[in-house]
Amino acid sequence: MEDNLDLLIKKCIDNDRGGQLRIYQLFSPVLYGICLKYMKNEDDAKDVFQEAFIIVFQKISQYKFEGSFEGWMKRIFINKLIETLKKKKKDYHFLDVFDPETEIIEEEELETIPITQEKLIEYIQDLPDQYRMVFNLFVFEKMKHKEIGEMLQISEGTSKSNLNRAKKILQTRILAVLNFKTA
Amino acid sequence: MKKQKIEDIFSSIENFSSVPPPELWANIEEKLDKPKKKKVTAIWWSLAASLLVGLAITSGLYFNSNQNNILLKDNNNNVVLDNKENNSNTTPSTTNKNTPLNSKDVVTVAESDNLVTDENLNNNQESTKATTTSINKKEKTLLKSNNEVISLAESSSKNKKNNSSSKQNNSKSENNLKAEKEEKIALNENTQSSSKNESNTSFSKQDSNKVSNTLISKDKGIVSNNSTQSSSKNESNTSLSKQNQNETNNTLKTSKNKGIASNNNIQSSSKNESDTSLSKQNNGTIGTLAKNEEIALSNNTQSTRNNASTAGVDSTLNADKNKGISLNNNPATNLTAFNDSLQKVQIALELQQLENRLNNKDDKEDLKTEKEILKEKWSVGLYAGVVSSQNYGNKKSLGNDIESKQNTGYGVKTNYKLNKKWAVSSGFKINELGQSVANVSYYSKQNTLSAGLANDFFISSPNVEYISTNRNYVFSSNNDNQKVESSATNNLTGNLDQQLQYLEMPLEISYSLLSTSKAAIMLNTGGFVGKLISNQIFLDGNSIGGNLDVNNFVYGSKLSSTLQYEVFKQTHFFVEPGVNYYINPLKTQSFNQFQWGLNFGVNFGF
Repeated sequence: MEDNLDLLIKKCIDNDRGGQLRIYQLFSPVLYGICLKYMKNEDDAKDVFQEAFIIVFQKISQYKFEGSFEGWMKRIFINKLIETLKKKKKDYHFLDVFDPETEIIEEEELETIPITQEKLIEYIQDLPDQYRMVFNLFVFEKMKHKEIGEMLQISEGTSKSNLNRAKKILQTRILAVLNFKTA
Repeated sequence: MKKQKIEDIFSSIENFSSVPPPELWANIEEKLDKPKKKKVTAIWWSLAASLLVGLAITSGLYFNSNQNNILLKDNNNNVVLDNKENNSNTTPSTTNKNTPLNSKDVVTVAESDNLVTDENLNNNQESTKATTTSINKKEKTLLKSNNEVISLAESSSKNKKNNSSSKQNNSKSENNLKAEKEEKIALNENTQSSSKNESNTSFSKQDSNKVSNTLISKDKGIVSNNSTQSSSKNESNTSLSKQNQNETNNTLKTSKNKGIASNNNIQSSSKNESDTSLSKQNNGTIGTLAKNEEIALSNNTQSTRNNASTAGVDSTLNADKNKGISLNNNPATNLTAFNDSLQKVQIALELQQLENRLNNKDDKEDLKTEKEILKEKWSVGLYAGVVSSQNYGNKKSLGNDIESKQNTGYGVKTNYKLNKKWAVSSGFKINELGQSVANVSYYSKQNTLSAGLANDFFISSPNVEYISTNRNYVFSSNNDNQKVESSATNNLTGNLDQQLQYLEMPLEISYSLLSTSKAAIMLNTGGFVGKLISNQIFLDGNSIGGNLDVNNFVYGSKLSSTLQYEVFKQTHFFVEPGVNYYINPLKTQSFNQFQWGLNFGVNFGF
């Protein structure tokens, strides 16, 4: 079946269930992947995924047919994910004070080891919420610390610090796997 | 062994995708109609609230104007200036006896002690109270009636919902049928054929190759993973097959309109150029043979590809544009075909890479825009505009119709966004409320009245309300029976303009009807309190002092709409049409209370 994306979007605007299903089928894997990266576990990811997809369909009439539709949806998802995580502020493990002397972690170059994508996702999910958010925004969304700080309402230094902590945790886990394999 | 940084390791899951469990769509579908109802209800509530506010204001005005008219009629013989006040009948008659002129029909504009009696004030208060009560009653009735409207609307909406639900059920069954149909999984393990697998949730299209196909199926038999391993050398021929045609051809189509496949798999592991190029695209250091295996072998002669979640190849062959492409090892096809195919794949990959870069750039820009909107919680604006004070109650002053008057206003306001939809604002505004009365009869102490008479007149008018700071002018109603009856006087006519300037402090709440990165439309409502800072009366353009009847503080309500457009970064130009209602500009006299305004301004977000 040939799909015309614009036509599908128009169908969704008209609340056509077929069009909505097709959009869902086309984009759900990528968007669900994003949810898995940002949330702590699959259950949380499912919840946000559903809510964000509903927002997509509700707001699809606001899409101006300019730029990437997938990008537009990703933006909604990321905002929703951040909003959800912000609501769980009590779970945050903030590292508010940034001390460049102590916080900069020397990045160790790791030997290439094949690790499944699922495992990598699992490592990210195991990070504390705040670290995970910063790590995702920095590594995958290519945002700068200043931008992350503004988005999460934390200081630039806190963002840097959280990223370093996240990297450190991930590095430790990967090294453990590496040691286990080489042993 | 090659070394890499932690970020490089994780960059392989930058475009990670995973097929969501099938039940999620059912949940989404179920919830899709719910917000609609909420929205419809919200619209009805908003409409009802607007109607209520509108009717309350209108009824307030209506009662006010009626009250004025009644009073004017009641006091037709006694009151010259159409005061709201219910003057007692005794006072004018007393005055009548004491004055050489028929002063019961006269209004003086002169500075003097205020001789308004307590009785009059009390009457006025009672009358105001009565009006308020009556307005309240009216409001209650309206509220009740509005509730009825709302409940009707809700019931109507409910019916509609039922209809749509049944429709949805139909659609659901259709979808289920469709889904069942689509859940057929075909897996062809023949070495030279490609198979197309399409599931209702993933739409993944898959190929299987001869060497070792590892098929990992997830929930409910949906095939989402396919990894292929091959150790064939250069002599192995590879053909490109277009998946959805289920036959091998060497055409690579990149058509925008040809759907967006979310799981495209490229499978090749022959140790040749194609493998190298594909590995490059696939960030090919991390691979798996199966979902649950953590580490897969990676060596120079064998390349293993995991297409499980389309992460690797999807990053390069983005789902946006291409149908699935598979690269099959086929010893039967010739090397030329392989090279052609290879070139096409490379071109496609390069194109896709470029496109991804562009998309990422777009995404980032979009994110920035959203952030900027959220970031600008505060804004400060400067504005100025024209206002027109209107008379909507057929009010009269000195027997003449009160006319509208144009003035200007300017101010500064600050706005704080509570969330994406709601905001509060306040500030300061210099605003003018005015009115004109044409062809007013008046007598000038200096020019018209003879000195003796004038003195007598002014001195011996204890019942007259002195409402101006200038005592030299006496105004008379145009009504024949209210004119000053004296042969010694010649009444003049002139245009009387009054202008009250206030320093107002509004407090508004705004609801964003539309908000984009550049433009916004908001609906604002609220109230204001104003302090009188200037009070002037002009007779034919000449100032004759101020009106003594004014209140030093004025209260009112506002309703406006803001149309805003971002002209520079964080700088917006806005136009704000609106209407103000002044509750009490003057104590007793009639005055324009409605004011239309059109403000222009700029605000700066931060």
